[in-house]
Amino acid sequence: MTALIVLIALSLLLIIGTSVAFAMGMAAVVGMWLTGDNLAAIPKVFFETFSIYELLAVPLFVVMSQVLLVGRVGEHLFEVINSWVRHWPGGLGIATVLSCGFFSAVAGSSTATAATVGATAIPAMLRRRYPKSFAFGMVAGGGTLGILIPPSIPFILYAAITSESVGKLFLAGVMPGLLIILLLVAYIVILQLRTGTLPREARASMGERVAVTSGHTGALLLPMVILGGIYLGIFTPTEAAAAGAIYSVLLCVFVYRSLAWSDVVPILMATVRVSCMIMFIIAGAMVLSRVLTTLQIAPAVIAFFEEQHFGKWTFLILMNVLWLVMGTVMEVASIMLITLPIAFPVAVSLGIDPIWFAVIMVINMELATISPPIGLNIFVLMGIMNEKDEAVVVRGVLPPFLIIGLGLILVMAFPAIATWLPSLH
Amino acid sequence: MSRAEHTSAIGGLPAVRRLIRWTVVTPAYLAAFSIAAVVAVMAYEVFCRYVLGAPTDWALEISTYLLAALVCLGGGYTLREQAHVGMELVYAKMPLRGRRLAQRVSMVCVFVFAVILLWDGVKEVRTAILFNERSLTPLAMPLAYPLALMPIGAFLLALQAVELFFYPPTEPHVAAVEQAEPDHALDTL
Repeated sequence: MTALIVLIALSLLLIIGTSVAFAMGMAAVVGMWLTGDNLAAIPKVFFETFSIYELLAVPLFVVMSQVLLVGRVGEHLFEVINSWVRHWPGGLGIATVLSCGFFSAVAGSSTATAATVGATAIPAMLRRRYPKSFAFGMVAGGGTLGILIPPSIPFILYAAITSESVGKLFLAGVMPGLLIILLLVAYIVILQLRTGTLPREARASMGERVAVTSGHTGALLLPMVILGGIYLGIFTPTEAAAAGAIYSVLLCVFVYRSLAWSDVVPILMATVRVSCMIMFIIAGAMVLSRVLTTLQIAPAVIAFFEEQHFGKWTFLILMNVLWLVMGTVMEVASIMLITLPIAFPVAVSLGIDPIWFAVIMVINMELATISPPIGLNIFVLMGIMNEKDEAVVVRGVLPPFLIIGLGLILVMAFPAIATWLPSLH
Repeated sequence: MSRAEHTSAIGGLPAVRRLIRWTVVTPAYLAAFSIAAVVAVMAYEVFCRYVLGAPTDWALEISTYLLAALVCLGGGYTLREQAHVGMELVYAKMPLRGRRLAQRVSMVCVFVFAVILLWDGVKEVRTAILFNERSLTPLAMPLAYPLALMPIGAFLLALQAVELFFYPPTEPHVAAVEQAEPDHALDTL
């Protein structure tokens, strides 16, 4: 009964648009009040959450993406990658997808990846008369790789909630990420070979390629600093985020001269907003999950699954459907933190590999960022490109949505795609 | 112009609202500063570990306090900028009066929650002072200082919730992002 009241309170608040963090917090207050729990636990849980070392990486990765976005580093990376692949069928599209993939190895969020690549790639494609829906769709879809390919803020959140290792989770995202890149590139090539609607580009000479590439070594080394730093054991993931932030600032200030003093405050304030938003949701989820523990919700769900002889596949498919539905109306951090406190213990009890589960979840979150009506990547791109026609963008997002869905099915069918790399570590 | 001022105030803000703005936004600059400070502390830690061969015994602890400062001092400002995300599918379709009502209900929730954080947060600080609690680290930080961030942050949240209760912004967040401030569109993952 109490559980039902908590659930109803949470749903009602979410429906009227109360911020997810406070909707969870208030639902928790109701639950704690009904179960006679001491409300004094709330500030304690909040403060403990606010001082989790792993979560420090969140503001640091956010500040780095902001610096790279404001410093227009995406422009240069796109130029480099474009010089290598532009003569392929659908070359600019492929360059876009690869740029998204490359940027994902630097940024921890989808929207940052889409915005950084999109600011250059979309105008470049439109100039060459690529269809508008294709241009927006590929960036929106490719941008979602930002949360799958390490570093990734959702994996950090997952680690903070479940005590899995950030390093292992990051590694688990690598092969699925490359798989999705491959699928997207294959789609573009096949599309072009079958319909021939995309304009062709002249091949860049080897001299031009080398000149462009060597001119931007600094930017190209950025993923090495972060991922190399983590996996060579030089930095913790949190320190790697700080190192990446410093490196990005140096790059933008001294190499590209694209960062001014006047950019500093907006960058930091944007970081404050995103970090607070995420941290409050985590803290709200932590308080709520305390109530759920008191109410023994997860054990009840586990018992229900056992009674019905539901196996892990039933559970996984249910979760996929649930995430897909939630993904149409909510954003990543909220979905993860609302579902994980119950879903994770159930997954573990059903013998599901927690790392594999994390990857399945994050690929679902990629879909969430591009599924209408509330697909944040769609809004971000419409915002930065000043595009008003949502229908065109939504149409363009459909192919990458299906392709990422295919990637999800492959990862579910062959768990090794996700679990093999971390098992070596 | 901040999101909170968009819809309701045209022309000058009344003095009370200016005071609230100042009270809520100023700590956010400190929050912004603490991000820069975290980066600096981490860089120093890595420098000490590899160059001087002697890691510090305080960097980790201080950086977690800075994270707490960032979140507590920035929370009210984040509310002001409507950057605490919510689900907007239904909200965006409501008529204007419905949205105002929904906003007010939300702000009451935020306010009640913030008061709980404030009330019990103050009690924790008092206990920490009374028993002179210190962190069990070489730094032996008096815990009252970092713990005080929580009630301060809660106060800012409560204050901002009160202002937004009386002057509810009615634009749905996403629409506001598209029309007014595209840079806010990135306030998410």
